[in-house]
Amino acid sequence: MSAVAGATKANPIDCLLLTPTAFGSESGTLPVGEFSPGDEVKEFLTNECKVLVVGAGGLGCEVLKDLSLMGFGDIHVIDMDTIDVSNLNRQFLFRASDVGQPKASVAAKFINARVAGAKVMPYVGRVQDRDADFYRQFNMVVSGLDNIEARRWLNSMLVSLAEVDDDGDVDPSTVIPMIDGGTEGFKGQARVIVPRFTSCFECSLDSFPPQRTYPLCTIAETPRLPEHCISYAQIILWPKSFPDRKIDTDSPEDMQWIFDQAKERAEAYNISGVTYMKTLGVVKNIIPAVASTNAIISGVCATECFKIATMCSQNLDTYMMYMGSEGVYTHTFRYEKKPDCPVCSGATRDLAVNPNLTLADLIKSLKASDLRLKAPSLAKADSTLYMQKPKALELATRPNLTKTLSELVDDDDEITVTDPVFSGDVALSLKLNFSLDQPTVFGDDDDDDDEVGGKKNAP
Amino acid sequence: MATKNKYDRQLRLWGAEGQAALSAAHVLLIGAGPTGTEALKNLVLPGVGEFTVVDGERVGESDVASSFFARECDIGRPRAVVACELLLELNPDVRGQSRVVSPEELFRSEPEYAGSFALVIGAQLDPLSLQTVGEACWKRSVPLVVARTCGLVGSVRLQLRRHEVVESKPENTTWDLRVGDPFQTLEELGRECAGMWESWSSFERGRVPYAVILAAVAERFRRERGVLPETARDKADFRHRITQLGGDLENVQEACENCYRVWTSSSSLESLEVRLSHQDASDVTPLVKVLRGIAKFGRIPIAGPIPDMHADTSQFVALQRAYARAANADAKAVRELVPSEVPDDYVNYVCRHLRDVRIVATRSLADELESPDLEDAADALAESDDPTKLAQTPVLWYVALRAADRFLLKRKRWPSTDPLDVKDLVADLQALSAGKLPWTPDTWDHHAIELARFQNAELHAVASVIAAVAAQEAVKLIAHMYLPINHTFFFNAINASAATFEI
Repeated sequence: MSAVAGATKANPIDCLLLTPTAFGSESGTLPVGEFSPGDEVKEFLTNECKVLVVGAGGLGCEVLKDLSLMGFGDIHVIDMDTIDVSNLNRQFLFRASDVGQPKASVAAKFINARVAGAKVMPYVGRVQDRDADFYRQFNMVVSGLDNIEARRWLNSMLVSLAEVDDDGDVDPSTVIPMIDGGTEGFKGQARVIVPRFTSCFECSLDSFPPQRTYPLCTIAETPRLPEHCISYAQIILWPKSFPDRKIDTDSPEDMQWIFDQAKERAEAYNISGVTYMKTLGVVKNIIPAVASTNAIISGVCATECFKIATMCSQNLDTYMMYMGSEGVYTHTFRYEKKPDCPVCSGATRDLAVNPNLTLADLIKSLKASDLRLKAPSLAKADSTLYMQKPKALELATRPNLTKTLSELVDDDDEITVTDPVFSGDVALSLKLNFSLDQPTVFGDDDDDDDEVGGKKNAP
Repeated sequence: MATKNKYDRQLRLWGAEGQAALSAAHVLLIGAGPTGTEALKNLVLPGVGEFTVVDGERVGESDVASSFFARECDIGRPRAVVACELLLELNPDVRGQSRVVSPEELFRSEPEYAGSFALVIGAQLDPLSLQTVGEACWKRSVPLVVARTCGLVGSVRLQLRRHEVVESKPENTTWDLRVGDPFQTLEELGRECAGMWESWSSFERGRVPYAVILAAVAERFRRERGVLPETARDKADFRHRITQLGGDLENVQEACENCYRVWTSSSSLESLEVRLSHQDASDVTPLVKVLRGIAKFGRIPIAGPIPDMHADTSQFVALQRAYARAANADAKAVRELVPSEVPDDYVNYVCRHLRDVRIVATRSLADELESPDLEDAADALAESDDPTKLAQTPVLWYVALRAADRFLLKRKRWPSTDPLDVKDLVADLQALSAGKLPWTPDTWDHHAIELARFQNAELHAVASVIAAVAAQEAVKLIAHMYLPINHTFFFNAINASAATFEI
């Protein structure tokens, strides 16, 4: 079209950055600053603005391409994974010969070679292994993660970096926007999180249901679906046969074993439909993933990054969902803050507890509650109640586990909870209200929730 | 790595059948800029069989700045050739070639060219080329996907003369249980259950799948009242009868939750009226032949699959098999009523998914251009009362983009921010929307200036969104699975709002 159309500028981003608009960031419903067109803003985008891409998978590859072609000159990417064959249907920066290599390095190398002026710096490793100083250096963070856990941690880190003074005012220079994307099959969502100003990831935790599981009694006694047989092989037979070894879900031998056992059980019960592919799906909790959905969500996220960095247009306020299987349905809306969000509200939660509950049971109930904690450590104002780490402190505080709450704290005491799902600086305050109406024990003896929110394979 | 199949993650969506359709398809891309190449990328990655790229331009600076499939070293080479080379690197399973020719010229001299493709994608075509391509595709009933990016806005338009989907895969599966209208085995199981219930222990009662319980209670209800529950009172009474069977049993609870299936599980063909109306279609496709057979059969054939139900394994498996047998019997009966050239597998396939069969037809591009119908889209406008949000309603930008295209046709250039151009553009905006929108912004001049600011440029990230929506629709169309849009998807990246409308 360029033969007949305008396109007078050599670089399309110049159209936006060098011309005034009535629809700058300041005119929208989530203003992040005032747009002033000119070389200065372009200079900021190409030389100063430092953006971190978290995840170099289905979303990450797209985001890296999008950001580099939108003029971002200083891009960093972090990912702990290596390339798998099943990534190749969408993670287009990787080739079959790259299988086994770290995603972050291969992705960075590809972009740097392909896009003139691009500078992508890779980091191989876990998000949780980087400290506050690492994250503080970025102007914004865009995440395309395949699991809830890493997003919760990242969100808590960025929220904790936004400094609030005694009057409750936020220091804008410490605010690092997080642009988060997620996909599942033909569905996806993109959102903008401006720490302390908008809702955060934790505010919306309820909208991400925990991983689907099947009731143990069905699996053990009345299996009806292929999934029940596969879960039986995974949850019951494996630990019996290999008590010292966890399943390696990337090992074809391990998966074949599970599949054979599941098939045998299915045959015994006349259940059809156990296939190797289904076995992988159930055991690895595989989420379907396609190139197109990842590109849609990444494109929306990258556009938001561009607009936040330059303020050349309005911003997504705050959440866009996309559903592509029955026609295309989208919905853009403001996701409201959760008033008692454990991460961004700073509010103290009231918790009614029976004083005769043991500390161990309180910990279990916190893990199972809507807080979805993983390994909570608890402290009172003047002393430690239970610490999961380090080893010495764990040993020293372990005797408290069997004590009842009335032995350890007073009614209306405030306790502080820290947990590895949140970055170290995030602690939530619980005010314990003693109530004899509450149960004295916490039932479910389900200690094996280490896998919840564990590694998944999309996007 | 536990799988060697690089398509594993998408096979979980569209299965081996969808993949086979994709890998058999030859797709034509017209326009090898950022939008076009990104769209094709999202078809090459999942394994489209073959593509052809048509483009008459050469790689320029703006391509290098905004396209992933044009490098600095490619400046001056034909865009089609470069795009083809770089796209083929993505997936060794895919074949591809290029033609260096202006689309307008090609389609004027060889309008039959469109007929050799499963699907055509037109990306960033100027209004004249689009008309020529649109007409060529319409005449030959080739599905056309039109993708267009302009600064921070963009659209995807489908032109489908007639598109059949058997597996529309709705978000919520509609299970076909027939509990109010049971087939023989289900009826017998229900009767046995009703006869034995009183003598059974709680353990034995808990073993019965809820479909059997519902069939049993429904039969008794009908025997007593002559009809199934119709009024709210009847339905409450029915629910009460279920709860009385033992509210603490999980299967009884499930039966209670699924009561509605008794009065919604009709086998009457009336509920499929819309789909069956296509039995009169002039284009007698295999689907039409099967639909005609089903009309003669006289009722909806049983689908077969059933959801999980709390029950004893053997009773559940037996029930599952009973449904499968009943479905096979129905499909076999339908088979006899369908001409023999339609394969058995296809008859079974349609019978199994009959409830999800959809047939989509859009307006032609020419029709839309001649008499745009803004009513549907305008309804969406009324939804918000916040002027800031209202000004960003996608349909307003659709109108604005049309006005800019009109300007382009007249003046052979994109409007600038010069007040004379803006005035011209606003006049067109007003003419296009007068009396057709319930509300027009007092900021039309802002919209006009903004479009002039966009310079019709393909901003990469926006192009990437538009292209990906286009590719997703293309995959759905090629696989004949899932429901395509009818007919325009519009994305406004200013505040990340989008809408789908028929205009």
